[in-house]
Amino acid sequence: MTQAASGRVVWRTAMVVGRPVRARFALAALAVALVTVITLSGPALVRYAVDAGIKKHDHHALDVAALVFLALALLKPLVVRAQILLGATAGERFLGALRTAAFDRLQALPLGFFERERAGVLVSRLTADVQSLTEFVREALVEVAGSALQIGLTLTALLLLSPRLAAVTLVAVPILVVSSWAFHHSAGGAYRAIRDRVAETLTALQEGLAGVRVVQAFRREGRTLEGYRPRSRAQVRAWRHASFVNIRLFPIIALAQTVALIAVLLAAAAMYRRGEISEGTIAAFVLYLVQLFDPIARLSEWVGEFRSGLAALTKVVTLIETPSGIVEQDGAVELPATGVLALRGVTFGYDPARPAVREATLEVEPGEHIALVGATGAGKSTLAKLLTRQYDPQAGGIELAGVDLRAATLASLHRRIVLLPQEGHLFSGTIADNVRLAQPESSDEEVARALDRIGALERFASLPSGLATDVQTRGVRLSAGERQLVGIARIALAEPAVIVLDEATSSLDPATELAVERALAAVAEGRTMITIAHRLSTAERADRVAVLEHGRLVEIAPHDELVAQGERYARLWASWQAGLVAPDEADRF
Amino acid sequence: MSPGDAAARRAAAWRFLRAVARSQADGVAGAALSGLAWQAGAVAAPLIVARAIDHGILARDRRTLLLWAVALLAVGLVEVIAGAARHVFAIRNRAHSDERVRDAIFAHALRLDASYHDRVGPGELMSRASSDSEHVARLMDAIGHTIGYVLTVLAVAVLLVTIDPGLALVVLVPLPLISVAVWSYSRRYDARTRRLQEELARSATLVEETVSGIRVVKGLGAGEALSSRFRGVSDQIVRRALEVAALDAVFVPVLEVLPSLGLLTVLWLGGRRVISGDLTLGSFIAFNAYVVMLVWPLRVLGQRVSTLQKALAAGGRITEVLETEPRLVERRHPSRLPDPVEGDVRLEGVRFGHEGERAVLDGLELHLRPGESIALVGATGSGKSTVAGLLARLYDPDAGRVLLDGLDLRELHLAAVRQAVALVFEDTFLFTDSVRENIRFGRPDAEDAAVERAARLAGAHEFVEELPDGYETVLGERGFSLSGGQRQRIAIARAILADPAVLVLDDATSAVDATKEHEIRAALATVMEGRTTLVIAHRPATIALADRVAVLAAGRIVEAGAHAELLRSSPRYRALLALGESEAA
Repeated sequence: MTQAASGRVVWRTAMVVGRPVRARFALAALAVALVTVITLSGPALVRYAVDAGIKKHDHHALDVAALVFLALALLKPLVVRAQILLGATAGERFLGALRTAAFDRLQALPLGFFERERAGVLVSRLTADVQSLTEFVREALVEVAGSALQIGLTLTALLLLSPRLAAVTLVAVPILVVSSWAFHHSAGGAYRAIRDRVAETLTALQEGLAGVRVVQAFRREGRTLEGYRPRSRAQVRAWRHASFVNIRLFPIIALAQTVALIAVLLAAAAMYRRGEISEGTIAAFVLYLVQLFDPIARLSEWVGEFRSGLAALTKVVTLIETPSGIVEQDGAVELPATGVLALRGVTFGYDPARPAVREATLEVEPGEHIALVGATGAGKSTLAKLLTRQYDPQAGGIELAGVDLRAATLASLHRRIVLLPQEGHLFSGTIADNVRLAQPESSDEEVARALDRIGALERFASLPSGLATDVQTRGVRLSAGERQLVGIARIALAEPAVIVLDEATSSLDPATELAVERALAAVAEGRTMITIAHRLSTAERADRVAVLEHGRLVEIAPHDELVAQGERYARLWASWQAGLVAPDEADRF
Repeated sequence: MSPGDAAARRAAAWRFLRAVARSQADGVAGAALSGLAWQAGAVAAPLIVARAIDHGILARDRRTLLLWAVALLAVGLVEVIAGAARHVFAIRNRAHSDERVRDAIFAHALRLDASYHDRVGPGELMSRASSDSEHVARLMDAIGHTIGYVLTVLAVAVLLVTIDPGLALVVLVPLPLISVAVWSYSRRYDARTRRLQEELARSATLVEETVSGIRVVKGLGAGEALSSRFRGVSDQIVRRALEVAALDAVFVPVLEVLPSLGLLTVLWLGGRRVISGDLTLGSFIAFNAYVVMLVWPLRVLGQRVSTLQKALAAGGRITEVLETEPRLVERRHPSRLPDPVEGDVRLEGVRFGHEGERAVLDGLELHLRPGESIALVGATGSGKSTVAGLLARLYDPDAGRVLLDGLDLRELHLAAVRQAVALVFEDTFLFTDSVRENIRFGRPDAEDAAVERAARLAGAHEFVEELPDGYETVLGERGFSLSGGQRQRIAIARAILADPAVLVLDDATSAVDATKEHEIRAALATVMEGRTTLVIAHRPATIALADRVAVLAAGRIVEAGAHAELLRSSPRYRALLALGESEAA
């Protein structure tokens, strides 16, 4: 993944994502403050009861103290309840917003990102990382605020009781400074390491589970586990390392407190001897100092959670902030429903110094079918990605009906131009749900009509549960051809203006092969279609053939004309007919 | 789910949590002991301070003061060490339990058969190994602290009784009653936590499927639709999480109220008794101080009850995986395959149906003699891949037998079967590793030269050489950077290198260009030579490589014979092959 987002970026993003729940967070913090005040008022009430009631044998004062205490005791749970509900609502909604922002980001990032980033890492970011933030956003934030408030109030009380004794407690400051520095110096890295190790472990799991059939077929269970275990153990080590970082702070705070307490006792003894302080003040001062134990213990429990949450937040924000070149321009327009598809001097390279597509120029009439032919690496797939705006050209432009793709809204672009890749990836769910992958609002009838249009309705409707048949994970139970049919049905339902087809190279059984061909013909009817042809029989059927060589469109004409010209395509065609070579291998000739 | 199921699941979850705790008994003991020491320090410190004030400062006794100051410092140091140890133990327990759960799920999942993985995808299992595991880990993290708090409560209770039994009774009697009420209420966490965990697993599955199929998603422009689907799942997570929080919002405040009411009782009743002279002021103050000490532990204990309930719900989901019996059971004393394996394969009266569906295969009879190659031909859905899976024992037949060298596969070591039978799938899975490692997946000790030979035979050597780092090129997730045909050629090289007695090619050359296949056809012929081979293919030229052809229809072999002979004699066979093939041999 790209470099981790800086603290400033993390907070800015968190603020933006958390904007709708800010008020709730503030109210939750207020509730914590109120709980703190109620808790602190307990000892004061007891003191009042003792001094004004018990010592003076005044039943009334005791009753009053008890009544106020009762009122507070009954109020407190209500406030605690409010704090829990507010904190949970704000926290969970924040996490929901964070999760969906990250997922939306995935949809905006170019394909290249996914070729670098492993699935397990991304799953980890959107699940484990977000989830590990739960305690952080629901409790740690408000608890830290509450504890800090309690500490602040207590310190104020100390200062009011005896500024001189309060000054004495400063002896603890050097200890605190050193241990805080030692902690914060390493905590960020330690907790980020945990998130990295978690992602690595999940990646190993994901790959082993996704490839479990191969693992089992080749008896690699043992080795797969062996490969995974070190990562799993590394995660344990990262946690343990973090625990050793944590103890630089948590227990040391208690020590600082003890040192302060001892210093206060010694100083108080000297002051008392000189008659500069009353015994009541000493008792109260020391009581408050001892009371600091509670918030400090709580604070230290939450500081770990806080750092851990911050690390996870940083990871998720880094994903959300990953830049994507593909953005919608201001004032973007709807892409027209139909029109000429034009490439005008399109040049693009993943490495701009070495363009994969050079100055490609081509005009495709509405409804025209073009076959792209060329060797592996000639730039066919790159051109397909440019046509669907997975990338933007570095020079030149692509237009549909005169509108540059970059000037179109992304929604209309996705609706008008679709790419059908070779593999027919299925999501778990029913066949119908898979067909309406991009159009979830489509009715069952519309799905059935789309399948009917491509001639595949009968095949799926005749299954035991018809279109409601669960394809199960990864669609292992539909054959390759059936998966392709589902992919084509998706397009039939989407009704795009332009179809970019990466022709499947798989050979199917003849009956299914025919079904797929018919389905493609049906869906291509009346639409512009650009096919990355792996078989020249496909090129032969196209209206025109475009031959790519080293990123350049070198020949563009109908099949017959090109064959008659006797140049590159004609040579390809001759060797194809001789059954010797596939167009992908043409560069050998 | 019936109540009986829920009870059984809970019992299993309890057993599981106990086993996890037992497996790190020393860590738990360490956390409990250090927690206790820390707690003792926390209790002792105020007492020492009180002594220091009374007998040191107020009595103007410098020696006593210094003595108590030293004692306080000692207690402070004990707290530092105990606190540090408690934390380190807690994190250790947490990390180890997380590791144990995750490892157990992964190891078990690798043993579960293909039909299980057909149903339960990677996202779901990953979620159980991380999100559910996290709940168990949190429980283990808390266990040491919790034991310390429980003992604190008990110790304080004893102290209270010794100071004033009557008042102590009033304060303490409600505790057990309330505990029972609290515990029974807390069982509501089970169902709600479970529903939350299910939603989390759903989100993991959706993310995993989206990322795995990103090219389809992007190509179709389905991003927006998936985003809104994900938003739906995410909203559902929020809703479920808030349902759990709604329980917290009843549970935690009630627990907050208990110690407060105890304090109130002490204040009011105790105060009256001091006034009436039944109780000394000193005892009253001490009593008060001890009841205050109960506040924090009781609050934490309450929270731990919900931690425990959540861990039980998560533990239930984990045991669901761990207690799934692999359907492929290995004999305790498996028979031995002859060495070398001859490769005589026989399917006798095989019936097989995927869960809850009508049988795909019914009464299938097929015999492959050692060294013989058979092409299995049939329409889509006729069960060809099922036959392939049965041969490598990815599944067991519902009825009938699959025999290798006369031995029922179920009587053999699973590992021995899979070593003898190599299965090449149509959908090639490449691991994120070098080309070389991917090829020697089935024989990790193979030398580089052998890897290269296998690649040559599979027609992969040429393009591998042209990759940026040749055989060292790391293939991306699911081998993105290679074409379908190239991936299949790597898979074939993998099988060739494994050198099995029986080779099963399940549509393994489908994505290899017809013309390229022509090139590797000779290689395939070499590989099949003298090796029992079952080929599932559609191209006549590939089918023709096999000694015999068997036609599968309606769950059984309906015709068998040589390719040429069947082409002549069988209209059904011609119909199966005749359509759309341009390069019929």
